Amino acid sequence: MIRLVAVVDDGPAAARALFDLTDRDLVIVGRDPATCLGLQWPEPPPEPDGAALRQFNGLIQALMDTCTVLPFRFWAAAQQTQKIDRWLSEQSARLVALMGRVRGRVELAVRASVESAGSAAPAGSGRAYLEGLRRSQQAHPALLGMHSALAGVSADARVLSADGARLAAAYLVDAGRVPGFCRAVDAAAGASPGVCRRTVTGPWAPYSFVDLPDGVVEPGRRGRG
Amino acid sequence: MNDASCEDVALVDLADRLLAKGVTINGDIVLSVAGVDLVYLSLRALIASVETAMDLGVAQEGLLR
Repeated sequence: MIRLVAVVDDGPAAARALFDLTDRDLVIVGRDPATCLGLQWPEPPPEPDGAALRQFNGLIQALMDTCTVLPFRFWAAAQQTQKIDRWLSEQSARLVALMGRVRGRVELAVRASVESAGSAAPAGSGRAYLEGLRRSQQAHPALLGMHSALAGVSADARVLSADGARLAAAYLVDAGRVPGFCRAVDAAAGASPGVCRRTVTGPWAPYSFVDLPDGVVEPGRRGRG
Repeated sequence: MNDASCEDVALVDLADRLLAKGVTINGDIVLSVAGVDLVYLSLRALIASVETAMDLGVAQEGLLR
């Protein structure tokens, strides 16, 4: 099995970046402007514990320092280099366009929450219960307002999850504007009544803005059990 | 937020990014953070200990192990 790591725009530089970080044999398929990097992985993929996730992300981060990166997910795998090669050929134009969109940019993760209003009063009817449930599953207006403000100062934005009290979102930001974005988070939180907590993590590779198709990518494993 | 909490938040964000695709299809996965088993339900909004999730009846052991 080949565990897929990323599609990059500078294969030789990317391979050099990975060489010292893994004792696995590198699999390099394709050529500029879209090269796919993977690792020979004869055994089943590792459990997704913290160490394994950080190790995989460490490879991606090393690539980010070197070239433009379209990261695969933890489970992505392929059986044959020929399939990867065919997929690269078929997707070349799309991959190049995607790299153009994320080049020089990083992903920042923002989680924000508001004081929970607590459980709704016991519902007197099924309709009241369902309406309360629907409200609890919708993002709080203050969180949506904060997200809207941050989307306005980023190149792209995605809400990853939201409910009545919490929101997790991803923002694609020019690498040189990360400090300014963090200040914008503070400002947006301050301007959104009720937002009581927020965290920013990153810079990440643009995971949330790169959705490589499943075609060639055969899930190695999808969780325990 | 202390360093350990910051690390946990970063790991949650990392898991969301690295595992979201594929895992969400099947639902649940157990991830261990600092020796504590955590369960992500659809890797989206909820993060709770396995024990708590079972107490609340939102997860079945067979799905988690």
